[in-house]
Amino acid sequence: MRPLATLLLLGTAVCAHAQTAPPLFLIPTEAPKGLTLPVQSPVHVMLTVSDAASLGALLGVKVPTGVTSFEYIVDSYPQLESKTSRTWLEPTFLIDFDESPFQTLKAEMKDLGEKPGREALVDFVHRTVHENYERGWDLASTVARRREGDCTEHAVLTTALARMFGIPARVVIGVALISNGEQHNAFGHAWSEFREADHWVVADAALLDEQGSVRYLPMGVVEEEGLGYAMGIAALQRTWIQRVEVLAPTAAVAKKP
Amino acid sequence: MLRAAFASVALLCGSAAHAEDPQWLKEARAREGRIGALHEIKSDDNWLKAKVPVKVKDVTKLEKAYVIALDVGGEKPAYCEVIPAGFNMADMLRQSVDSAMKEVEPIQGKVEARQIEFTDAGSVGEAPYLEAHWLYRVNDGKVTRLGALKQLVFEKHGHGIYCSHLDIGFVKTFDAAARAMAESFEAPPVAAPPYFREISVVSMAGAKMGVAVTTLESDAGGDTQARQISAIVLRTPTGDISTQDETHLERLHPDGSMISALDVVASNGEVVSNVSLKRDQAQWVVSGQMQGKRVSVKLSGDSQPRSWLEQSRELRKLLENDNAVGTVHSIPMWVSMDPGRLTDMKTAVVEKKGPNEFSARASAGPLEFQMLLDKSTGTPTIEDIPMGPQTLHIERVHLSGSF
Repeated sequence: MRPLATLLLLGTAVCAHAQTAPPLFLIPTEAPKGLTLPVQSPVHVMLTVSDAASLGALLGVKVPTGVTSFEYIVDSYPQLESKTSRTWLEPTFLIDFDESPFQTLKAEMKDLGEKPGREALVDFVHRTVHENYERGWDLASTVARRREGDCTEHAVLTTALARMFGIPARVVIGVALISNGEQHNAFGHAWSEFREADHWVVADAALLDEQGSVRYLPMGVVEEEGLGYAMGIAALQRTWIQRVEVLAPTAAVAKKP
Repeated sequence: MLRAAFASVALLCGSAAHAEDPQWLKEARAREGRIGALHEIKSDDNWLKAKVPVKVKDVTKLEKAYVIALDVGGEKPAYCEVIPAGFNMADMLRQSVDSAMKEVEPIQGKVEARQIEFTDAGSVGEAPYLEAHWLYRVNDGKVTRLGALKQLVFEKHGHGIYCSHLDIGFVKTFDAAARAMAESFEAPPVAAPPYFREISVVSMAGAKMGVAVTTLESDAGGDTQARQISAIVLRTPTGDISTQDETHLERLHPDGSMISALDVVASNGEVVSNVSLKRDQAQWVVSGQMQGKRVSVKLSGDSQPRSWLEQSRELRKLLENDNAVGTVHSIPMWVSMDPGRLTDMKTAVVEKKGPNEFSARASAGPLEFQMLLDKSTGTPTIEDIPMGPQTLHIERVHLSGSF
């Protein structure tokens, strides 16, 4: 075994950013010519993934073992079950809001009130973290100190701030399907989820100013937040979506198993 | 050569790599110098020597380096800088492009944009190398112009050598000179030469982006040092590069068992992780720092970390067995992705692919990947690791020595 932390941390720095098209995080996407998708409408997609059965199970779709693609309707936000029983409120090695850089941030956030909500936190992180695609997967305290990074840095800081204010939160990786008129592109992405009214909801500071409509498809929860967080993230590669085909509604019906 | 570049070249546009070059740029890119008989390079103090197929303009000794100027054609020479005792290869590329752009600005004007065009990686004999080509745009307040930078960095005998040329074109001439330098470079080695060396190239979607080197060295006391280094250059969405250099060092008893280990990761030149594994009386202790946070963990009581050398020897023995196919080898190892505990490394032999090669399914904890194993070494010649929608391909390109 080679010292692969380097490689895998690089590989996880794959974030949606509609203005650019780097080869690593752009997921091959196909859509019928001229297809436009009304904002908020359900979207039928065909997902190709090496372990389709595992991803299907995560998303609540029964997919036979050995199959490499399945149809899915991106509609209401999927609720991924956690493998561990936890509050998602505690400081951890990765989400380390107990470290000193958070005291500085907290002081800067006093205008947001005693317990800022999701929108205020997302907006704060969006304003605070500057885009820098050279970061791997930084700890929340590193992001709080450096204030730069890509989607993973936005996600860990948003999650840490939520927990600091008593909101259960976690980091997920998945696909952001961005539609802009007739253009549809899927990107590897990471974002934060907040627990609100018994539901996990998206809190994405990285794509806050995205012009197109964004649909989120989570592929895994970052459960391992200890020293081995890189290994935990690497393990999520198994359910990584390799190709997305956006289906026209008629084709979707025809292709249903 | 620096040429005016108006709107015709879409530097820093997402589609630039596929854009059609204007005629003048095509012609500039096609220029070459003269590649001919070998010319000797020798420092005045006789510390270094090499042979290159281009004219040698100068060899200068600086306080901590030697600089060799080579005529590869064009107005400016190419330079090869020899840094005794070496450097982090990937970071050297990143740092040097920054330095080159700073040097360019007072002469050519403000560097408005730069974009990496090409990366390559491999080995010239026993010297692993990384190569990068850049295009940049400068503006002196009157006109916008294009320039180019070629970089090739290699490591030999423990020393680091960085070659560069600031001009458009002369690609083959520069390559011939830099590669000849890598092949022929001689200088007193930093340490006794390793008795085993493997060099692999790391690529993704056909683009070579890094090297991984494994060496085995003996120390004076008869112990072995197994050293694994990797140097990776990743293109960022903005057309720049991000680099990671990692060194994983295992000190081993003659039987291959672990004495201690160290793992250091530098990201864009900044050490982000530096952790060691040592035995403290009856327990193994991990200590150091990760992203500036102090780490101190005792491995569970009965944990015994096994080494890279033990894993390779055991796999080699397993593959010599007639019934190797279908067997699964398992070994607990200390890996930097999860330094607080040992990771179960499993190798399931799937099929015999040739007299010396077996395909295998491997796993490092929850991470699964495919490999091709060399029966003669017990090490992989190819590893394919899924990474998002892509596959990270690691392929051996050099093997020397034995263990």
